[in-house]
Amino acid sequence: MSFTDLLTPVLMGQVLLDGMSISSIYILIALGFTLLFGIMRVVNFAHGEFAMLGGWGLYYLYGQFNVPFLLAVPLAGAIVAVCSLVFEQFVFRFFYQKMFQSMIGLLGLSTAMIYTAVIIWDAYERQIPPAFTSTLEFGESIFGESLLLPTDRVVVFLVSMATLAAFYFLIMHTRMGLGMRAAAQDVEVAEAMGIRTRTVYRQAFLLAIFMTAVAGALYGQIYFLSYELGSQPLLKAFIVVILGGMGSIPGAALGGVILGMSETFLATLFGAAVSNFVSFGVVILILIIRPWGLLGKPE
Amino acid sequence: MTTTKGKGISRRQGMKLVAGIATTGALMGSGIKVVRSQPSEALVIGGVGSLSGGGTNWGLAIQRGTLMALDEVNKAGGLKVGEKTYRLEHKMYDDQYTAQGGATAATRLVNEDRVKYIIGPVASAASLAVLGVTQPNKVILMSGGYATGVMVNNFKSEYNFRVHNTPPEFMPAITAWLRQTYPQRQRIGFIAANDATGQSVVPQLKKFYEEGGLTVSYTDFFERGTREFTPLLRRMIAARTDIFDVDGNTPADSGLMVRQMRQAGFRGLIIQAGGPAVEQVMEIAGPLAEGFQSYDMLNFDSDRGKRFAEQYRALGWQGIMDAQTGAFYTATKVLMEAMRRSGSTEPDVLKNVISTVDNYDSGVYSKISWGGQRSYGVKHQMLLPFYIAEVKNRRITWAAELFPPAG
Repeated sequence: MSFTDLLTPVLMGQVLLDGMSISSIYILIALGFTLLFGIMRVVNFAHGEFAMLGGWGLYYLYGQFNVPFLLAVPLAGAIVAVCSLVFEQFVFRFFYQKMFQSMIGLLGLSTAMIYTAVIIWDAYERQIPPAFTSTLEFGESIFGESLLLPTDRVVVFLVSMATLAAFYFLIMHTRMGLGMRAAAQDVEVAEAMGIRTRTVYRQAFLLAIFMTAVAGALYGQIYFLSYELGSQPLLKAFIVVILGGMGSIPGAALGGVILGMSETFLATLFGAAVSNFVSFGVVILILIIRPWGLLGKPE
Repeated sequence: MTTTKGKGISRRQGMKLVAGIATTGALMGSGIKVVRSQPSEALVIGGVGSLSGGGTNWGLAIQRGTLMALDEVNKAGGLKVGEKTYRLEHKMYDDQYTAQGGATAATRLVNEDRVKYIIGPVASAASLAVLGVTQPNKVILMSGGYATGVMVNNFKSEYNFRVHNTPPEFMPAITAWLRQTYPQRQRIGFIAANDATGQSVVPQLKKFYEEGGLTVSYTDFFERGTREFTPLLRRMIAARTDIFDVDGNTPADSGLMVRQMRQAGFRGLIIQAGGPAVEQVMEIAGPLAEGFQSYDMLNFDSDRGKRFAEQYRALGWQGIMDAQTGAFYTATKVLMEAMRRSGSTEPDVLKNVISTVDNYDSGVYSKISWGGQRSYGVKHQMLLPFYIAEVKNRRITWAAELFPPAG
């Protein structure tokens, strides 16, 4: 197979769709991560495990109790977020504004959650029943062959874009978002201005875990559910957020698109080894030139 | 992997159970003891396998396969070896799916429990570690493991035997079957994890397929933990591949590959020359597993398979039965047959007798034999018949029964 065999319009169109699909997954899993860091300066190494809990939530609600899919996804996110307030009360709040301590502390929480999951659900992988199994075919008149787009990926893309837009609106155009931004800029000044930062932190925590759990639910459905579901989302979220700029919402979107597109194009055109090498090489390069990320702000 | 679905207890069975409990209670209450005649001298068969972590189903296959064989013999009054009759016991330790765990388990069995025979483990790393303990202590080891080192080692496999097929045993037959069944499909592709296992599997597969007359159209490696295989699968499709071999990838990865390959529009044949993990692939790939074919170790639609499944359930085990259970059951029976034939329980005698238990009917397999002389320089490789399983209408069916080449 030569390189030119791959440069066909239909394959390039398909790779573009694949890239958009993967980018949207990366954006979705990065949003909760960047919120916790942006507001509370917490590097949540247990991010992936909250995603895993979202997966289990969907598994029971949709897979076992037959709750309609479009209701089950946000409900799974909400249940996980509310239940996670226990972690907020007993673990997270002690690490607010303590970036380095939070890394180690939450790594411990991550390990504890993983092995608790093994005890509860064992080590076997499970499938959340697919809500959409068909594949959209289109573009034959343009490309000569149909482009294929699985509907489950379309759903992830739409949920991801809707979440991104809603999240951006909430942060930029609501009173709650204003409080969060104020607390993110300067906690002491925000408190002096009458903002109850404890409440703001709790709201931000709820929101972050809700988005993470929704991301995990969809991630678990398009891949599979297991106790180690969280390891890949954590890695990808970390890269996306560092690339886009810690705490920046547009940065998370840009980072997700760059990572998703570069991985997809490079892997399709040159294979997995080149893709990994170049993708991470680009991340290193960007961080050398702009250590605060593409859309982040220097501290 | 094959499911043995549990059935609810029938009314008649329930009555029998109640009557049995009542009778036992009455006898106990009256002071009468029910004693079944058992030989007094025990012979302990050791076991090493994963009873926790990712390889648990394989560990359970070792444990349950061995227990099934021992239970059969004990129920028949024990194992008669020469003039003596033994009551068989089983002692097994968890290797935690690691080499260190395997070495520790084997050391306990050999040094503390003084066992002379060990069945298991399955994982290559653990098997090699156990071998390092059993060989110096002259303990018979009947293990699994795809690594060539399990058979080709410094010890010349003096006391160890491999009890399931590996690629040199099943690949020639699978390749020939593919050529015969799908003559129009000529180009095969596969991807594997970028680690020691994957890098040893890919050249092996390439060699077997090319020797069998197929063209290897595409191979690549992916990082462990990858969930999105679509870019690599698109490359495979672009290379005009018409058979995709999921090869020895983990069950979960295999299921994802099958699903993503179909979602990418692949209309060719998807097989798994490895595993076997048909049920897990069906679990992950869902309806897109339709038409998936795989190497399998047991045929649960056959009379033998059904009997074996019933025997398994009769011991109280429900749910998924790992297809390797049959191999370890067979290995235990072969070990006992070698004791019967030689009239000895000594490893130094048995090491020369085990591989003479040829053309042996283990109950679950009608004919097992021994080979390996040509591939490994020692005739310590058990050759088991195997099957091609196919997913049809969301059920596992069996498309063919194949045999490893002799020698």
